[in-house]
Amino acid sequence: MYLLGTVKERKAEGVIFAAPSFCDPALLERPMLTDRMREHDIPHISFKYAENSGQMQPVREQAGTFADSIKLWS
Amino acid sequence: MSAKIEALDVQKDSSMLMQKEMINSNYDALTDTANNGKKVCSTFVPGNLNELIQSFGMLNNLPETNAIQNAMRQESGGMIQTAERMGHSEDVCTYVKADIGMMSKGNIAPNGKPMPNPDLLLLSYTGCFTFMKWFELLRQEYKCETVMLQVPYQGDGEITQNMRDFVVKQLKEEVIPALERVSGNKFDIDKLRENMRRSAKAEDDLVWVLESAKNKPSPIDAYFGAIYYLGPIFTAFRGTQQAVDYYKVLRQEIEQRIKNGQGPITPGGSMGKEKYRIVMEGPPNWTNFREFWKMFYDEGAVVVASTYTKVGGVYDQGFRHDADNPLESLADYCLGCYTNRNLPKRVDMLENYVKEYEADGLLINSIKSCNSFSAGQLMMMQEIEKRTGVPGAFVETDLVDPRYFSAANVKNRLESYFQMIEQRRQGQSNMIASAR
Repeated sequence: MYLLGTVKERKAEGVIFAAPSFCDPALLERPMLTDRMREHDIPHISFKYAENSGQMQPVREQAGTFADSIKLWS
Repeated sequence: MSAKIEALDVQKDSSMLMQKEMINSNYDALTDTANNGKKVCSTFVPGNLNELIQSFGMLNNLPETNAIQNAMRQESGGMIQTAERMGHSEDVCTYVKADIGMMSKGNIAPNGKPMPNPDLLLLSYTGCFTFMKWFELLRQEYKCETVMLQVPYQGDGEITQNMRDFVVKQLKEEVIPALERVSGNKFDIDKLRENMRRSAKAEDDLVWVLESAKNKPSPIDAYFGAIYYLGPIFTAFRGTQQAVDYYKVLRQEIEQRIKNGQGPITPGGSMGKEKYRIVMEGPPNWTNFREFWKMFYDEGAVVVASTYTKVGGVYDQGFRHDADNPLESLADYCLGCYTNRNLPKRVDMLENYVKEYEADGLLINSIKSCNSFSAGQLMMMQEIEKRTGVPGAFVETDLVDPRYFSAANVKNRLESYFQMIEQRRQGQSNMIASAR
């Protein structure tokens, strides 16, 4: 509810779920949250990153693709 | 049941047969609720309130035990992959994914019959944050009544009166009313007391069995073998007469083994000469349980004490269910579980085990997907080495995901570790000889 409210209030065009690897609380609730996004046709993408490696290139690429997909198809 | 017990050969294997029969009987009762009319309460092993649940005539279903059963039958791998296809990360607790996968495959119990939907989700939260998210996922699926018992973490390494009062208050105001609503039965404190009296009896015998490993040779394996011994008390039988009978028979078996100077019974028969006495930290791997165990008994290594066998209660530290103070005692039980203890307390416990059981080493089985257990284990190992002088070692596996059990790697590490203990021993005896 909070997330759906925030999307509406801020007029967001998409939601990024970013979670550190091995973070059970964030990773386990993600399927529940993405199900709600799907039900409401809100574009979304999920990332996972290693907290200690600082290797953000894959995340940068995925975020760019996600932004492009919103621009092109939303 | 009792007639069958008498009919069994009261040597060696009768306790194992009894244990198997008990666990199967609980699955039969669970999958027959359409006929027996019983209500089902899903809850977790650490901090389970079995005496209370049974006092309402309800059955107890433990999702992590189902995952273990599926792993031992080599079925958890497919279930985990199903959950991953549903969007669950490869990094998270594999018990959760095995459970989610089992649900999506028709929720078939180990007896081959469909498991009923729970009537109540009772989350007794003891030191594992994942439990909370796991039950959120189950609540979404089953949409049944959910009640949460918040158990404060022993951050300062002790149970205070405030913590105890907080848990008792929740039992009175949240948990018992929910059990009354769902079961349709009024709370009967005398029934609870009766169950707790039986629990304490079984706990006395269990502790005797676990402490029998102080003998040389140890008559039991206190990790692999003890998993079987703990089945009844960790699952649906604590507080029942069946558990009292089971632990009595088990104790008699072990007494006999001590008299005969025998070591543990392994899947490969009676164990040979005891060469290494090991203390284990961390849960076992379930998908390759027997293979893992074989790597120990083939080398003459026996586990004399383990912490995993304390996740469902730390009875060897003196705790007993107390019928005279039932709710306070249930609170102490939940607060005292191994997973609810802070790192310094866990280190103290391991140090005592190494010393009291005269162990040759500490071995940690670090679980890839269990952060609650694994965080801090390297520090724990170093601290134990410093305090006791015995060598520590680390192997990495997983709970129920077969992809993370690399038999060759684990075997290599164990063999090197046992050789190292042998060399140290040799070095020490050489030193003693040259000092003479």
